[in-house]
Amino acid sequence: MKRGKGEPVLHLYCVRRSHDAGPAGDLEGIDGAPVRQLFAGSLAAWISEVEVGPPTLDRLRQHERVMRHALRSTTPIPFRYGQRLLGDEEVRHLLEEREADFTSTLEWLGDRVEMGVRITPGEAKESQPRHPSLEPAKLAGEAPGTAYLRARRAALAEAEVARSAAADLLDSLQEWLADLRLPAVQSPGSGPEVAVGLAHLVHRGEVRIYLDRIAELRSARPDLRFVVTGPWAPYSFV
Amino acid sequence: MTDAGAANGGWSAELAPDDEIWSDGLDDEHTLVDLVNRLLDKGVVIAGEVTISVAGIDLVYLGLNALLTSISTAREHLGRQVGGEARQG
Repeated sequence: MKRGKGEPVLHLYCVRRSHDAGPAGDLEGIDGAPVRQLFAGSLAAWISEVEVGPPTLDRLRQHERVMRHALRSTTPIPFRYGQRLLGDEEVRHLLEEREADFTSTLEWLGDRVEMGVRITPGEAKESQPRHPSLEPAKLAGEAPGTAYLRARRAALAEAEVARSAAADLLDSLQEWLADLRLPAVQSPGSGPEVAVGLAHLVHRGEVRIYLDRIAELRSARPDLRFVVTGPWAPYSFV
Repeated sequence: MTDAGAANGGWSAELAPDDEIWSDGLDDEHTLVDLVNRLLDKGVVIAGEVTISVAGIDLVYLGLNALLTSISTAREHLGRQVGGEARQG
């Protein structure tokens, strides 16, 4: 069956148990389409009709708003953005086929939510240019190639120091939170800065404790910048 | 609250559904970076098990490049604001 551009397909948000509260009647999903539930066995999928199109930031936000609406009441299994099915039958088939898998994941997740923390060094010591071509120094009599290689070696050494600093940050963060025994996933670095990111799975009742602990670490380490985001649906743990 | 993982999700008084912690925040730059990383790179993938609109997927990835480019530009901008250096072009 061929689908053309502009023809509606079903956009998947998340899966929960069929007895969990459904979306509010006026909940709008992507492009303002109403969000509805589709049931199969013990599960319910949250879906809306969508016209095929690129993932604009607006659409990602709309997707996330639906996810947070679900997350507020019960932790869902979030789908990755951009997966569309052609009709109710396909969604039902998906739920039936993966029921055991989804059910045990929901059980394991329980009431937990995902929190994210990113750490970067605060005021970087910008004593040297990062890129060898910026290196102004030309020692008398040194060939440009030699100067370049020397600078390149210095840059690589600097990158190595940065990597090991990042690993240290990660260790101290994990150590700091060790007693909370949170499942953790390292999140992708962000950009050229030295940065470490971790996603944690935190019980709702412990989110405040988690935030307090990061705040304490922040006061203890004024040399670092901390960014905490969440609560998220458990994207990194499913 | 050490056993808060009950299957029926008993609510903690510390995090009610109307708690301010759920406030949107989806315009915040840091949250947006995390949002993109999560929505496009995490979460359950069903590809290969069901029929997916091929045209849709292609468009998603086409659009993705444009989006990620703009995010990385935003990051560079952020990096400069906090004292980082402009990257070499």
